[in-house]
Amino acid sequence: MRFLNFIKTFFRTIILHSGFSLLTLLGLSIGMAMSLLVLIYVYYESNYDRHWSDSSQIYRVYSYGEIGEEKIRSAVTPLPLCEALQKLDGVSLATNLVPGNRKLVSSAYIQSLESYFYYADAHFFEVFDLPFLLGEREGVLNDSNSVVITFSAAQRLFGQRNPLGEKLTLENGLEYVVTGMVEDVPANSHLKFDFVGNWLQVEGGMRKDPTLPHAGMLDNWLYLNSYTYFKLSETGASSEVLKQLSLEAVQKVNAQIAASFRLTDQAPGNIYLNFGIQPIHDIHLYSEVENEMGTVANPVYIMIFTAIAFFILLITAINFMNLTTAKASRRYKEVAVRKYFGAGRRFLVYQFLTEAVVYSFIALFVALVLVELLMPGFNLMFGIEMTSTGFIQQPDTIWILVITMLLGVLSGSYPAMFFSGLKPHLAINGAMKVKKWGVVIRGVLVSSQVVLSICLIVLSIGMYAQLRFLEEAPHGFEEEDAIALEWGAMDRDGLQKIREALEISGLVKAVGLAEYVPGDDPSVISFRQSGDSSQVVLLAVNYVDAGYFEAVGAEFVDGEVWAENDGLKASKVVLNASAARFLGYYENKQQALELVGGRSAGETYFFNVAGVVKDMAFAGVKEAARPMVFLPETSSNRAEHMIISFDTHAFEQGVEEVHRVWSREVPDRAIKLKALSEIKSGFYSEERRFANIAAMFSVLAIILTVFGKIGMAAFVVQYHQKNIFIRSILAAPFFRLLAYGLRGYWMYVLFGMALALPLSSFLLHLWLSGFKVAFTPGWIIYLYPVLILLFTSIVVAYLTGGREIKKEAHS
Amino acid sequence: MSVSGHKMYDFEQFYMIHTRDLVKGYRSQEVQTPVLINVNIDIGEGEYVAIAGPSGSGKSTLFDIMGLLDQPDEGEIFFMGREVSTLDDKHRMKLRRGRIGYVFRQFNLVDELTVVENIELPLLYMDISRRSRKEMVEKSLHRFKLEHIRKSFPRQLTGLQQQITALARATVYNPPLLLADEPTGNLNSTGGNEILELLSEVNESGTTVVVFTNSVSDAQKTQRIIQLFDGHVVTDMAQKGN
Repeated sequence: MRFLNFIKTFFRTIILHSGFSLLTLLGLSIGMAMSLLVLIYVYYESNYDRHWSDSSQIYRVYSYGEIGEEKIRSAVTPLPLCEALQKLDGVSLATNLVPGNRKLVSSAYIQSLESYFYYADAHFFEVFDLPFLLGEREGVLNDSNSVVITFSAAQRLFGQRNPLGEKLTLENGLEYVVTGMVEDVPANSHLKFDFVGNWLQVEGGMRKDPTLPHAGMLDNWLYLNSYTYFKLSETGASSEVLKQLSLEAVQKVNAQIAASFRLTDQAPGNIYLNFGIQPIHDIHLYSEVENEMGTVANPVYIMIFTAIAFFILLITAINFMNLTTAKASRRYKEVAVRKYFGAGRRFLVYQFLTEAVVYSFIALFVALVLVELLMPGFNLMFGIEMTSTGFIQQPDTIWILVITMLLGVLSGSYPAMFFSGLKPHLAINGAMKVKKWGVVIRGVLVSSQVVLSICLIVLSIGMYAQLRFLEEAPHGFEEEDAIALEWGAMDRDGLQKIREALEISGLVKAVGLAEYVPGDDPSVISFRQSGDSSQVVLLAVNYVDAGYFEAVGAEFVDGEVWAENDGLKASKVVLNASAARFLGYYENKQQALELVGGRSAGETYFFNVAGVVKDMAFAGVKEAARPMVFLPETSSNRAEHMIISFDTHAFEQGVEEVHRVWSREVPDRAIKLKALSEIKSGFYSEERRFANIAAMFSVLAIILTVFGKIGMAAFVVQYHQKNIFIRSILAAPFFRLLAYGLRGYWMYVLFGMALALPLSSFLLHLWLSGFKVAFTPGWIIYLYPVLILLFTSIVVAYLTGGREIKKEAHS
Repeated sequence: MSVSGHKMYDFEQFYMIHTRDLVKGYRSQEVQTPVLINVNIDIGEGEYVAIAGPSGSGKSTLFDIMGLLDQPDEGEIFFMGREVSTLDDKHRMKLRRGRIGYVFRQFNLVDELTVVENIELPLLYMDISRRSRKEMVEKSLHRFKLEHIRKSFPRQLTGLQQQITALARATVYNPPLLLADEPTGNLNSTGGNEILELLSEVNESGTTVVVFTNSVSDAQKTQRIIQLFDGHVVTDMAQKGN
């Protein structure tokens, strides 16, 4: 069979010319491995929440609207919405998920501070069918005190014991019995929970005692606090559900607005709230609402990554063409002989395509091995947990094979055209001339690879520089030598004991309490300026004690903090500079604030501004600080964190002391603490991630450029073959031959560099323009890539060019 | 034997190759260098002919044109009765497939293929079953006594063994015409003589053989010598005793 003959020739060619063939194979494998990794990432990101049964039938409801100047787009919805939704045509099941605070959960064996405790109705696991490891899905949440926990939560609280039937006590006094254990929620789901307890128990408590905090939420259409999902019935249409939902909602919401704002007539025009729906598939990539359970991704990045993956493949294919035809004369004889003896163009095209396809499949094998090896590093770099197993399975294997096949055909197309068009009688006599356009094409390829490499290197250096700039910018708090200790809203005595013990240790500079620490997403409450009752403003609210400001190193620009023993402290607040500007504090000396609506009996609702502190960058300096108001913590609004700042150089000792005091005072609870510096560095994790990715692509670009340059160097030497031979006969020294033979090579390399510098500068400035604050790039940023590229070019010129020249000179 | 006395109308039935006023030149920049000038050659079926001439006489160009690899600038060439001077690459290739065998000075075996595979190579491009291919190759191996080196690669062979392999490759499909371009040029005299002997045997089995050579002694081993000089046919004579 001809096909077998092709493959036989191919393998023997590889063995005979192993150096160049292995280089070609390596280039192909690296290119494929990198694009596979990127494609796996793209696949991972674009397949969020597709593992649920009937996932395309599941939708989430979100809220949108306006209160005063503030636009609302939120993933959370009012509690009564779920019940209303269940009654609509086209909805087969509706369920909701109410986030619980970070709370202390106790089993009979251990206590643990848990961040992902949620409450849901009994239908939750019918909509989201996580596999049950223990217990039965049917009716698992039927009892009001039932809770379903994940595998990892069970390990934390029960170790290796069977958790079924075990009791869990929450710090708010609720008791639950474990009725099921499910697998952990897959990493690529927008849902993040460890416990799902039956909401009925909480609701029951609130119904019995309406004075409980948040009891008003049960029937309040303006209280956004729960995630609502529904599953379409088989015949249901999402547009119909949305239409009914909007009609229903407008009525309820308007009635609620009228009630809350004590208006007898219609609600004022600048307050409205409505609901939209989104397929759960779209949440991760396309959701533009706030209060998401986890982080969401930007679809533009996914598109860019897909483009990058195919771009890498294209460059890889071009490099393959370059390398396989760079030393074409090696195969002239074979092709000519085949043509003499009757091989038509078609046969030769088949032959070279077959070779390229076989090359691609061998490269695929190597690439898959590389993918497995590189995956852990790649996961770390992208900050995700992906495995190749999700990707390399049916029907995706088909896609990989199709892509490999296409890559082979693409890579083989130029060699096939090139070789099949040879004039056999010229090729066999060595009279084939290497055409000048071959040099030009390779030159353009090398120039563009040089441009690409320099741009990527400049961008990645720029990204790291910007990252450093952001980290070093003033954040309004002192992250050095300070930690945030998670406590939870429980037992104040224990907290006080810990505080006292730390204070007498002599290592601590200041201790303070806060509901939110930098990195948290503080809740937002609407206030009225006391002088202007028509204006409603939304301010982030943080309940703190007086020690907090010193502990975080906040700087007062006006006034001062309340005294802890001040009898009137409950009515005093501190503003941040943004809130002060927002409220016109400086212009009008506006010094009072009033809480709007939703207050329970006895709650303070009128506040005087005691002082103003500089803005604290709660989410880093990339974003403008939110206007924030600091209120004294009270029994109903307790601070959940203790901020401890240590004396200079006493950080490590201090942290040890905290551990010691903790294990003495609360031996049955695991400690949870974070250094503020760690929190700060977390603000820029995305920048760090993209800088790492850019660095990775830079390295890849440099490698691919090296392959391109090898092909080019080999080719130009062949182009000047005759002249090199003559000069070598005339005893020209080796370095003169090298300089002569590689003139064209250097011209294109240097041209690429010259082109890349202004382009990379433009791209870097474009990228930096997206930041509120950015560093000014210096010339040194451009020097590094030029040096790297020059170095690799010299090495390639010397090794490949030198080797080829020696060969030509002696041929 | 001279063939010029045949009537014009029936040459196609007798001639393997028949050329009329062939002209071929090469252009470099502005200078046109003539290589073949008004070449008229007729070679009949079953002949063993040498086309002799020194370097630069136009032998290689004539080899390419007669081997249907190149076109003349002017004139006509008939191959087995068919005018081929204006045929395109594709049609010339189809015409030569299975009908012309080639032997070169440089042997030109495919380095990546063994002796057996090199001999089999031309058969791959013809519509021949695997079994028949195998039979034909075996026959050829036997004919040229190559069985003992059947699995060897060209680089493991002597020059003579390579040229015999090349001859086996050129004749495995029994082409009506065999063109040999200085087949002894890279061999010593013993080897050269052996190749010429084998070419003679090939001719005796019915194949028309044309040897292009610059060696007078080689040429004298054929039946007829056509002498080329500076692109012209200067003599065309039958050999005595052949």
